[in-house]
Amino acid sequence: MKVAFVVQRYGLEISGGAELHCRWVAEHMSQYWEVEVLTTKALDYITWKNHFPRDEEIINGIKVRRFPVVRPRHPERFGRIQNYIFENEHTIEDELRWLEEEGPLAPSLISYIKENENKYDYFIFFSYRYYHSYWGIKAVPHKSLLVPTAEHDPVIYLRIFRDLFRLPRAFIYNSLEEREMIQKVANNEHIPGEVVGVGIEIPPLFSGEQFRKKYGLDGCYAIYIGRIDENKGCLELFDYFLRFKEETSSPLRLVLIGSTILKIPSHPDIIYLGFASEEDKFSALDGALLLFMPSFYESLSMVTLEAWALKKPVLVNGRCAVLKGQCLRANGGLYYENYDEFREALGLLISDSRLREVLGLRGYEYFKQNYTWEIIENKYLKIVEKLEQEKRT
Amino acid sequence: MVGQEENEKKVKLTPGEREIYIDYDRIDVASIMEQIRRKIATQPRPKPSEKIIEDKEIIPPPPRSPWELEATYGWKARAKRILLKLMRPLSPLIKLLIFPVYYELRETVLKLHHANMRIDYACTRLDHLASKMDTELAKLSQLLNQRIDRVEKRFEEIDQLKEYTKLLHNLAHNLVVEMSKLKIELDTLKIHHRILEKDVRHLEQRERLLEKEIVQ
Repeated sequence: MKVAFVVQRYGLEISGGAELHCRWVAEHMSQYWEVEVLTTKALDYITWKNHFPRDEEIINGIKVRRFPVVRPRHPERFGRIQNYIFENEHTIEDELRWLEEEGPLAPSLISYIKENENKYDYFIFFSYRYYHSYWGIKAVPHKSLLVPTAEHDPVIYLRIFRDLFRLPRAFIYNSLEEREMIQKVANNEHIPGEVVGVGIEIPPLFSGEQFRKKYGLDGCYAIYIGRIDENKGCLELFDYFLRFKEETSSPLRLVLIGSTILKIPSHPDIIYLGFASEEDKFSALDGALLLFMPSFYESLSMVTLEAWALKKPVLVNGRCAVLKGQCLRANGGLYYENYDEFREALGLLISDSRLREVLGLRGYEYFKQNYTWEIIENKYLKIVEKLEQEKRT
Repeated sequence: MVGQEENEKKVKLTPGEREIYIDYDRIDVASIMEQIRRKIATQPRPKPSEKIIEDKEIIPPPPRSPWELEATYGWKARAKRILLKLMRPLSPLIKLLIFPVYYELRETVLKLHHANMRIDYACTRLDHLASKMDTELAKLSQLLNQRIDRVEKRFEEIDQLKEYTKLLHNLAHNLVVEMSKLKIELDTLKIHHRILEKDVRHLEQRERLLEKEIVQ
């Protein structure tokens, strides 16, 4: 069986989000299927400027076909169009113009899918909101599977996507909440869909103690890992954390790992370490008391799963339905919806080491039951097997 | 790790932090969050600072008519108003010929200013009412939570009593069963006793007969 994974960006340089999710799944499923990746030449997710020069390459044993982006995204123009369609009555044409501006505009990728449809048994599209998924699924609806990686933001309510969600053969969801949201938007309950998610790659060597030594960190610290961005709830996290420190005189420190597009408050207890290797990231997590996940928009949150894989509890933004749902199902962490809840929940987590231990353990059990690679691979195999059976009958 | 534990101890905990009941064997995040929310609801809300209260009380009520505001602009304005009043019979002509625009403008400004003052005053009153209501609501919520706690405790007691009654009922039932069994056993033993008595009597008779025969 030959399966193509279609994604907006692909490469070892990309360290998070749907792209990493796609790479990991593609690499794991390559032991069962003949896998190819169809993607663009872009690396930067803001401009989609062509970065990778070669049309074809092999990455970790997987053939990757890259297609050029014919027009990079103009962030200002895109922002203007986005504001217009979110705030005004508009037409389908306006939404399609928004999609084209959003990009990555790679029409040759769509042409390739159309022309080589017969060479592949299935196309698995990642991220519903980009050009490649919209036009790609429209080109081969009967062979397409969609991993939407949808978040509860205004984009999901655009009319073009309501129709798109009724086209694929099957859905591979990241969480129950994502499935519920998409089914509510598109009334597409008749299309088969499984909640799968993604497994986690844990590096063989990591140590919290070594991390503490390396960065001269003594005392307790909580950690945030990911893009430091307002949409990820980081501004609110800084505000809540500093208020918590002021009110309780807690010695807790906040360690931040990831690229930033925000000005980080200058405070001795907020430590920004920038981008870190996988080993450093896991070592940092290993040494932390807990993980903060303040994001408003998540479809799964891989870093939350990573924390649970290391038996660490989490404190998440309860206004993100997915994060709250995961915490309630796993019993692996607490959540907050305002500052008072943040203060109480964090105070409780800091003061009660047994609670931290038990929450971490429950998170780990939940991770083991749902997110080991064996389970994820089997779920993918079952979905495709089911589609094959349908095809035969 | 020792340093870490020490640091944990340094955190100032509110007394309520220990009020949250956690069943570590069957951890339930929903229940912990519910307890956290209830705890927050019972905490008194911070009162507005004294400065804010003073600021609110400084604003006086506005005058009834916008024209009364002229007084605040000094004796010149008052004199002008009196003169205009005296010349009222001629005012349409004066308005038309001399300063209609000025008059209209002045009237508009005064009315707008008056409207602003009324809005400010109304806002202050609303704020006062809102803060009063807030305090009352906080008290009410505290009382309600206390009542809920008491009712819940009462329910727990009732549940305990129910369990206790059930146990007593079971106990009484078992006692009746055991007593019936004992009664039956007693009856059986009595019968056995009677049989044994008869046997003994019979054996005594035989003994006597045998003794007689031996003696003879």
